[in-house]
Amino acid sequence: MNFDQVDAAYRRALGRFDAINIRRYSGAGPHRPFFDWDCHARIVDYDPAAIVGSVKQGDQRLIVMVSDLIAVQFPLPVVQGDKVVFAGRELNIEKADGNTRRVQGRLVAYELQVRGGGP
Amino acid sequence: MSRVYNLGQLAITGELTAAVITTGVTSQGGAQALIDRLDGMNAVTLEADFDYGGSGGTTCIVRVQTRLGAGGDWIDIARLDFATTSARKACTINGLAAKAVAAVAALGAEGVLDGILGDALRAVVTSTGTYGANTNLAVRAAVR
Repeated sequence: MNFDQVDAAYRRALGRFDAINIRRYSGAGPHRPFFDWDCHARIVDYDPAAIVGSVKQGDQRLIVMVSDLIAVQFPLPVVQGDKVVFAGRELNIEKADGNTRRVQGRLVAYELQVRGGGP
Repeated sequence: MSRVYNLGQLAITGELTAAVITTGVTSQGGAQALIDRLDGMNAVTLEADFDYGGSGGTTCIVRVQTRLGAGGDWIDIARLDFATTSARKACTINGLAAKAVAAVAALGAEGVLDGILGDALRAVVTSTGTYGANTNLAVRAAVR
């Protein structure tokens, strides 16, 4: 499949995706500014066998549509230290994989490893 | 129907001279220093939130600009002035207001320019003096 077909296939699956925000902070101090960008993500737990190395118990994996981020003019790329806001919880992005879901040199979706936010 | 865009957020420390603080993406995902694809924008509400860290600095001037298509020159549509006090300032620009012919010029303090809205926005900052730690600025735009 080419990029457009893969992107469309992801888009058709949006019904199973959740609405989240990608949050980016700037500056320093108690009132440092942040901005939230709307997007969709598929949120999945890691398989127990995948919880090794930098992947910790409780980490989650998010698949985030890049076309969503471009539509809201998020300043790509998503980077480690950006946040995910989901269900009122702010989660830290430990790793942003921008290679796995790439087709014909174009990125269809990020795979984000997120952590934190409490129970 | 409106959408809110981030026109830039940063820590203000050393002096800035007409520094573009907006970071956006092209339709292909490439970096660019503006928010575009705003065709049909009739009005925009702008907000600048200046958080003073408590020491240093003199002035921080935020100019929001628009552009009439790729390659067009940037035109000031709002200027928001800050100094050494935390403040949040906002204004609304009406793109449908009648506008008499006038020379394009930089805006004076706290000035606005109705009647001219193109398809892109960006924020430009000029600051004087060296602001101390924890001085931050955020600029956003609600486009309608």
